[in-house]
Amino acid sequence: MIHIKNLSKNYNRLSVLRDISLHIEKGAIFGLVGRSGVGKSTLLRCINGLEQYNSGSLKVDGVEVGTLEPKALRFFRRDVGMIFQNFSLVSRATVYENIALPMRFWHADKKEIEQKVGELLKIVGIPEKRNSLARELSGGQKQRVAIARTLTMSPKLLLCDEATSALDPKSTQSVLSLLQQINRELGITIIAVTHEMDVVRSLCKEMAILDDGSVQAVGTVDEIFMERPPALRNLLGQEQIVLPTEGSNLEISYHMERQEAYLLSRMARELQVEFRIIKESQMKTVSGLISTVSFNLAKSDAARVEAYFSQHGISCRILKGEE
Amino acid sequence: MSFWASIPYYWNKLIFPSVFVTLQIVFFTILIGFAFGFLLAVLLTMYGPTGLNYKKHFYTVLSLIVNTVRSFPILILIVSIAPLTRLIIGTTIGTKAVILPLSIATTAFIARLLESSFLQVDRQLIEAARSLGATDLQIMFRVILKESVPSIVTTITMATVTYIASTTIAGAVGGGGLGAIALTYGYQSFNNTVLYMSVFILLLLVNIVQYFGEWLYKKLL
Repeated sequence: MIHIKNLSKNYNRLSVLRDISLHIEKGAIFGLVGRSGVGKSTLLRCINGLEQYNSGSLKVDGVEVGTLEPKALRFFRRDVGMIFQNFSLVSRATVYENIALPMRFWHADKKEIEQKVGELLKIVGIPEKRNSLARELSGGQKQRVAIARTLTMSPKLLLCDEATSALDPKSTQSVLSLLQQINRELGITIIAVTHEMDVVRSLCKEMAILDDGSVQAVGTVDEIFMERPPALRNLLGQEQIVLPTEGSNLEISYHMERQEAYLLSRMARELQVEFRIIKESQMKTVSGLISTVSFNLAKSDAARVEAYFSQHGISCRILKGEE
Repeated sequence: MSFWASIPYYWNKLIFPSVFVTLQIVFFTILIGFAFGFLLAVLLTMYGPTGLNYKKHFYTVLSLIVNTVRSFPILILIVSIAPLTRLIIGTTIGTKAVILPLSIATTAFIARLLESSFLQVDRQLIEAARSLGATDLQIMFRVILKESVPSIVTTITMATVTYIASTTIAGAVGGGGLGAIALTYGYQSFNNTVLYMSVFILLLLVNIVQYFGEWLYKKLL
């Protein structure tokens, strides 16, 4: 659905995006992750033409966004919804008026607006707030209104710019499940920009890590969290873990549901090796639980253990020094 | 005539009629000033550097005109555009003759104040409207204006208070109203009763306007 090829953007001499290539399938929930100020929001804004790019190509359903005339761009944006960190509602207008706003921009008739707004209020789960003022709502409710507002235009694509960053954990979860519901039931492709790892893990299937204006890693969320490329480690920050200085330190990640439950003890038994666990951590992604285990063993056993795991389709990483 | 007996006398003869003149001047000044000031503010916001559709030359010229008018002290503005006033109104003294320069000053004053309130509307909200396919005009009138209603009230309140004071200055150059009474019958005639009665009425007017403005602001917020 979205093909980005060698896209670059700069403000005067400052390069913001460098040689970005991404491919996002229809129906995906794609996460764009990175620290603040690495250009992920800019990239998102290039997708609906709020920002222009300097070179490269960005096609949405075969349409080159950068070459659209102002009028065509308006029509194009109708198919691309966007929600923001600060919700961006007209604070002095009612929930009803806020949701109806895009339809008024496009001169829909009263009956149609009435019907559509009623429908959407039910979908986002706040029909009782219909006549409340936007500024009286809680953060989670505001984001629901913003989501309903973009849905009035029946978009094919929904861009989320740090949509849950201003919300408390509980509202975050409920907004995320609403987004998943929209993706599932209405088939809307979602691209979510965020700096929160929890959000990517509980929302997206695929992700790309941006740093310093370019893509550092791209793949499924499971792959990236299991392989833990440098870009991800960078993002997660320094983990406080003291490694034993003797022997080898290895780390594996595996799917708890898909892999053998007694993986480690079986390995120990089959290979007749001894090891000690340094650290074990779990994380939940859309597709299940991923466990990451770091352990220490004799140097002479390391090669055999690595071979054992790779036989089982699990890649082993050797930990060195301060990680 | 005793002091206490003089108060109703001056009230009936001098103060009361001139209160009406002052109110009339203020009302029309603000009305005309708001109409044109609003229009200018919309143009300044639409075509300004941080606005919806930056048009450099247009904005620079418009901004320069507004600044020029704003740089004139009100008394100097009244006398310096006297030829224009005579051309349009036919005279340079009286109520109508003073409404013209005052409205020009108010237009510039309100234009700048409204421009700054319009520019304070959340940038992301404007971006959101744009992402929904709104045109610049739709953003201006359906989003920015809607969000700025309370600050428009504040602006009008502020302009009204400021120009109540200015009408009294206009009194010095034949504008009539409370200012003229305070100066001519009060200060220059060494009549403190008239002087301070005029001041008291002005104080009352300013407070009423301010109070009402604040009440309306809270109501609309």
